[in-house]
Amino acid sequence: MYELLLTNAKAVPATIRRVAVLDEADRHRVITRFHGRSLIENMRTLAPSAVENATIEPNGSRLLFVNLVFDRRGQVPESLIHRFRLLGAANPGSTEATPLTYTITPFVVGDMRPVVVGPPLEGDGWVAVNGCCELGFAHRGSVQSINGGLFDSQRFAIDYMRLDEDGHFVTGDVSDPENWTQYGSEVIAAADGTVVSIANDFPNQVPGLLPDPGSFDTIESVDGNHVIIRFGESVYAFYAHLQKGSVVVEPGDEVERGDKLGLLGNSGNTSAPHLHFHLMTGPEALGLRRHSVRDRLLGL
Amino acid sequence: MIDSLGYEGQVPLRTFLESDDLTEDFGEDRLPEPDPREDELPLNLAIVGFTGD
Repeated sequence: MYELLLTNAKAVPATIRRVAVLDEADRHRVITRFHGRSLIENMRTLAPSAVENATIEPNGSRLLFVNLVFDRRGQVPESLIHRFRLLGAANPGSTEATPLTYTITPFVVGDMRPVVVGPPLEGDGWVAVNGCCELGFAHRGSVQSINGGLFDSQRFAIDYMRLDEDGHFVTGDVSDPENWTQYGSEVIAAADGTVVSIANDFPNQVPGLLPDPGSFDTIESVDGNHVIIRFGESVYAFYAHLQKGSVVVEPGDEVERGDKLGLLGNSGNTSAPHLHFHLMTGPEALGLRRHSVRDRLLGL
Repeated sequence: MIDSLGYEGQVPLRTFLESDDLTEDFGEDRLPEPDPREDELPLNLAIVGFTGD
């Protein structure tokens, strides 16, 4: 999964007609295509919000979200490249859009391998809410502008909620966090590691509605009570929205897989008790360079 | 990815999306027995169990 940032740097509107993802080593091998409805459905503004068409206004930008699926590791190309067919300005003096084709934006996949860890929770009935990979859910399309860049650090994040034996997340008054099946569950270390940072004093929110966005003055306050652990070289885990006062580790503590970190809660930017869990390449929860949007200009 | 989990089924997408307050029964497609999986990222709305070490 990755994203393309498309910028129209000309004075004439640019309309994307087709995007083909190609194997750079064999450009006749088409990995996937976007056109018509699939193009519109996978395109977003930078906000990001859905778009009604594939036209980019002058000086405007769009994001194209790319998900590729392969049956076997051996099918994954070493490098990808993208062929765009569009209507746009052919040169700086163009006053009208004409058909153009660009093959640009190489993306080296290389030998990237997924990180494997243990679970962040125990027991059965856990639901991977907002999990991979649909744009209509909270994480996949959650590109954020942080420290001068655009980042989609949550693209593999999961909000864990739990069903009881009768299939319910909550029974009774939804505004009482105690009525939610997962509330108060122990959150555990998914691997051996070192605690990097914590927060433990943010208030619990009332379930049922998202808090007023104006109540958050820092990224940390959006995360609520949390723990960040370093598991190894460039592998960090982020556990968010824990109960106030429940975090039992401190920065510098060594933890072993399965050790208790705190209790699942409802602090920060959350409308229902859950554990937000994701892995990252550095200790910052939402702004990591290696997860940056693939930034290329279209329309030079 | 998680090294060991039990796949227990799927929360119905339509039921989830149409829910206002998440009070519905979301367990209708839960499997009678978990399917053991290794090295897997639970996908959206998968129901999973973490019982092993």
